[in-house]
Amino acid sequence: MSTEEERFLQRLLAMFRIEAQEHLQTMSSLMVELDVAVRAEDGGEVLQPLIETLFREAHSLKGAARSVNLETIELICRSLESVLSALRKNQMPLTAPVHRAVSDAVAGLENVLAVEPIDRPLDLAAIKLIGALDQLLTPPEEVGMPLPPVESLALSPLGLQLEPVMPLPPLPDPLPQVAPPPLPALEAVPQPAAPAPVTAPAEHPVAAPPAHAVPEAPVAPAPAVIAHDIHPRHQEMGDTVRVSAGRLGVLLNELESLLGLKQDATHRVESIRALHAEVADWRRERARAVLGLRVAARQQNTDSTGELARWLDMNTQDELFGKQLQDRLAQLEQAARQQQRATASLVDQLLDDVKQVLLQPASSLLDLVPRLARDLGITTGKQIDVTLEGQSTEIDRRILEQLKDPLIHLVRNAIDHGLETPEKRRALGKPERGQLRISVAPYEGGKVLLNIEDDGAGIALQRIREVALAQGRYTEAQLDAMDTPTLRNLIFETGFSTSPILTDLSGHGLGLAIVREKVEKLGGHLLLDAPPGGGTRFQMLLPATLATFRGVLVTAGERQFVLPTRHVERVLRLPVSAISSMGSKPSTRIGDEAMAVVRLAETLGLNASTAAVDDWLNVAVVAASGRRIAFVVDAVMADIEVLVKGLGPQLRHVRNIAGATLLEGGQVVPVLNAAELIASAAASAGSSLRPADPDAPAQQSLLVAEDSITSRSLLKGILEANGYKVTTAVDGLDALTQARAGQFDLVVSDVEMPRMDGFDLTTRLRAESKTAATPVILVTALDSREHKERGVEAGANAYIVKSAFDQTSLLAAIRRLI
Amino acid sequence: MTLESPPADTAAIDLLMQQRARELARPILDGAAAGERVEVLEFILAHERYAIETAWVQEVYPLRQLTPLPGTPAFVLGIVNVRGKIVSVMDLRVFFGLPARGITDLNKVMILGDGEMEFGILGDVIIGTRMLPLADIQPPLPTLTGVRADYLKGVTASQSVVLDAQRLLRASAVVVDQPSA
Repeated sequence: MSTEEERFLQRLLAMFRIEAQEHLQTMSSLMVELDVAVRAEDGGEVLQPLIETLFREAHSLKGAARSVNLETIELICRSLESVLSALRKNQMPLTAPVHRAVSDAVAGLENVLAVEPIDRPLDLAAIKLIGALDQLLTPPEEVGMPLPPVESLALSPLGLQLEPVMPLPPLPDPLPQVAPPPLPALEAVPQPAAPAPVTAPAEHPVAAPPAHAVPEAPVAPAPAVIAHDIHPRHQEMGDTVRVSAGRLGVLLNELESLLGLKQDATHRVESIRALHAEVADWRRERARAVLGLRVAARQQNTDSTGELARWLDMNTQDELFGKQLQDRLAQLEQAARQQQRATASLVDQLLDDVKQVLLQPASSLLDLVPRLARDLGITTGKQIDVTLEGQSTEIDRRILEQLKDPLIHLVRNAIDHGLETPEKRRALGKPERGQLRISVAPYEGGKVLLNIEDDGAGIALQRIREVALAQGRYTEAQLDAMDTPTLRNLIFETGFSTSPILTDLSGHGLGLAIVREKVEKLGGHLLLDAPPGGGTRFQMLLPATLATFRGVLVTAGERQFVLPTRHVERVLRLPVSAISSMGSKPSTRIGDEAMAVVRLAETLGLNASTAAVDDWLNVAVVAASGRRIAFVVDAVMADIEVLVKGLGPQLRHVRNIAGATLLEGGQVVPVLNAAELIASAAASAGSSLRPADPDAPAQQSLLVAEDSITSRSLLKGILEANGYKVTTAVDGLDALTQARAGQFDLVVSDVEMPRMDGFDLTTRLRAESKTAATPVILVTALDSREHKERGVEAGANAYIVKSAFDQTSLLAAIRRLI
Repeated sequence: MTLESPPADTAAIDLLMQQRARELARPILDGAAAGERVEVLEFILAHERYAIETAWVQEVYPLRQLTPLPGTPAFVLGIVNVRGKIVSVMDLRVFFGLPARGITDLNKVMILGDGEMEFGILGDVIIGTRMLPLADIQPPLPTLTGVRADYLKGVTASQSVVLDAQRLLRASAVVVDQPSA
């Protein structure tokens, strides 16, 4: 986080503190009133409004806490809200324990707020509070599940999949070995044979929890934060040392400079060898010359005291010196050669070892899945079992970091689109609980295979066809000609979304294209297929170490560039005559495929050395994301081993450039981003008619309606930072008034607001001719399916769940809509 | 050995001690310069003298190899290799929008950093470092306008322009973050 963001966060936290204190004060006084009412044995007409207000306060506080990322407060509020909601709907009587748990929670919230720093992680006190609240809501039969000692934890909000942190009751022998808990739904697609799923509780022990209860350490999903806090894993502490990742990175950088040393040593050996050879030649020449002189001297029979004789005597000395010189050079050469070999093997070994140090078990990545799945399960009203496998597989930590976003995206997709609701699954004869299985396993050639698999509805080919047709991407005939995998792979195309409404979960259409690009950037492949039993399976084949990869060194516009070899399908020389101008764009046929021909220098905006007097062109066929273009380069220099480095913090992203690498001798060469290069080439190919400045859009004006001052400031700040002009409104009515008076390109509105909520606002905006077509994005902390549907009914264009600082989904939605 | 010293000696010693104490207590510098001082690195860029706080200067390098990157804004000259790490290098003249005045050398890279941001700036000649009393920094002359004025601390008596390195490092304007095509 940059310091600027940090300061912004500090300001927000200060604002949040004030807002939270107000909420808590209200809640405390409500609790007192509630107390009085209960003692007076008042009826529902007195209690109900009090509970209602308490519920709303808890809800608002949760939303505010969430927007500034205060997990502890958010989680307590969430559980509190659930209890109050149950009370409100009369699903639960207000008994003494309930009353106690609620007052404890309110007091607990005050405690959290009173002690600095307020953004500290979840502590034991908070966990107890949450546990106590959640327990109230748990049906008694579930309390009697296995793992009695962790029962209270298993009920905590992070709980569904907590790893047992205490000794477990002995297990039936033999312990089920690595054999992964099979995916019930995948194995037996229970068409008719499945037992009537009405008896859900009876099925529970078979289908769901035991899969997690199998306490085979690496298989059992690792816990979220809590388990670490309560029981640090002592066994890992023994002979390990904590080293910051930054230091390791520095170490690796320095070691890579040793590669230059290794190369230098080779050069040194080479120059000594050359010198040695020169000296040997010189001696030979000289010996030949001296021999000639001796013969001449003898023939002329000169006086032995003459000049020549004296010179020949001296020459014997020189000859001796020459021999010594050559011997010494030979020794030096040998020593240098030995040293070069030693250096080379040491450097290689050392680099290899350090790369091993950078390996980390995959659990650091996979651990986030159970929590994410639980949250999404609540949001979408789906029941999900998560099975993780192979968490101990070791992968370079830098790869793991880069995989986080793609993994989150695929898990969201699986839950949002793939898995069905319990009702639907029941109707289909599937077990109610959807299965999400993620496994990591070593694969041949130092690679690892990451599988993300669900037993949901799978990918609807019909829907893909419809969208492809509707978006005008393909004609009916083209679609008819596609086989199933090709059709299915259309979802990787940028801008392709089959979701009818934008949600923050998915539906941006950018998603899968970006996931694929990220995976490819790491040197991996992303595959999609449909397992025979139904559902969807994504497979990522990734390198285990972010080691070097191969690159093709080329020159274009008198500069050197590296093209990643895995994106270079072939390198060839084409006669100029093979280039035809189809339409206005040059193209050629390579093999039996026609492809566009573009000068690399031109795509990069360099002065192309157009004076290609040569009749032959050097061409590199670059392929990425299913597209290929033939790039004309000045020369193809070499196939080299490269290690891609970032461009430093100032250059966050430079178009077409993935990073840089060091050549032997320390020369820096940019590494090109194949996917972006192709996109740029495609964009520039027909751009001659377009105005030159696409980067300066007119400032768009947004109206933001949000009652929480914290969230409002946050949204305003973020949107302004992204170049929008922002007007704020404190509630729906205010927003409606402003929308009538002003001119806005888009409205971002909270759902729950006093006076007029987001749904009403949307309906009213739609009803007025001036704003009927203005896009509306509903942003809310309340993530429920009914609300989403209500949003659609009211006419909202997108429904997005607030989450802390991650506003990328909101920004993406705005960009998509205006 | 006597425990008692002659009283005259005691007084003399006291006097000496007091004198020494005064000596030690005297600030090394006197007068107006005794206030807070900062260490600055002075350099010449486009025939002008600049000073930058050394606290933000990580190192100074002779510029040997510079790799330009296609598509970056003009103020980014390119990237260099600093012990295996890639560091971007910017041209303050372009960033400040200064008119090109004659030929300059631009052969020294000063690498600035604050732990998060890091980049190099180019200079023609490095003059050296010196302690600069804060009191000597005067508000910038009204003639120093434009973008540059935003990143200045002031001007010294010797007409060195004092750059605000911290502000420069935190400026979002220096960051390049281009969208894909």
